[in-house]
Amino acid sequence: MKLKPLLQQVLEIRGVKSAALVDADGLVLEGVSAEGTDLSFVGGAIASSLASTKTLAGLLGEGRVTQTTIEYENGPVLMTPLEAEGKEYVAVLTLDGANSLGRVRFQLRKLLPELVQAVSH
Amino acid sequence: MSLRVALRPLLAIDGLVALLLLTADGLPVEMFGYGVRAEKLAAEVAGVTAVTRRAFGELGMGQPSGQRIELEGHNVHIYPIADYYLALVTDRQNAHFSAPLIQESALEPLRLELRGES
Repeated sequence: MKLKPLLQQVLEIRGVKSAALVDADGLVLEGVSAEGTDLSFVGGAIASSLASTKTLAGLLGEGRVTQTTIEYENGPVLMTPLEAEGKEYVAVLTLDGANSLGRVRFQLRKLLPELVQAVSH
Repeated sequence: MSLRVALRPLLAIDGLVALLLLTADGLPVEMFGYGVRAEKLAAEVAGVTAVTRRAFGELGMGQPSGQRIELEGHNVHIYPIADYYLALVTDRQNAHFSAPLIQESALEPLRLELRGES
């Protein structure tokens, strides 16, 4: 399946307000939003966030960041690093509230292999 | 109440490996735990929080109230408190994962201490 329909599936998970896939250089490959939010400019921030958390992981003797959750006043942001064909990507989701976190993480985990497959093509 | 006394209840958190209180610009104030140098951890945590503050402001998400970074063996939890940050490193294998990691009330003594209101 192609990337956009997959992200639409992610957006259909209850509690998800927007979803995007960003590469390690900050390029937004695709983004979808329930509220028409412009996601095109978040790429740089995501790339910086990925780099800074990886540095922190290295300091703690760890190789990999598996997920980052940032709780904001208006809801959490969930960032999940992915690797496809040796390249790094981040799936970025904004949620409507902390109560949705568990359900979204559970549902997203099932879609991650398909997201990896979609960016591999 | 002293700062160390205000931090002490947090030391009972399941699987806690390190606790670090730092200034917003990355200077360590107090640290419990071992295995990592406080200065280095403080600098990296400050780097992460600086990115977090900037990252989603333009999306209208408001101010960050907490961050959890999940690694293969550890979780790093970061909370802004007054003009400081509290970073907690927990061992994933020995911690009962729950979100939020700590209740707001557990941070209240520390918040009061940092504001000079205790």
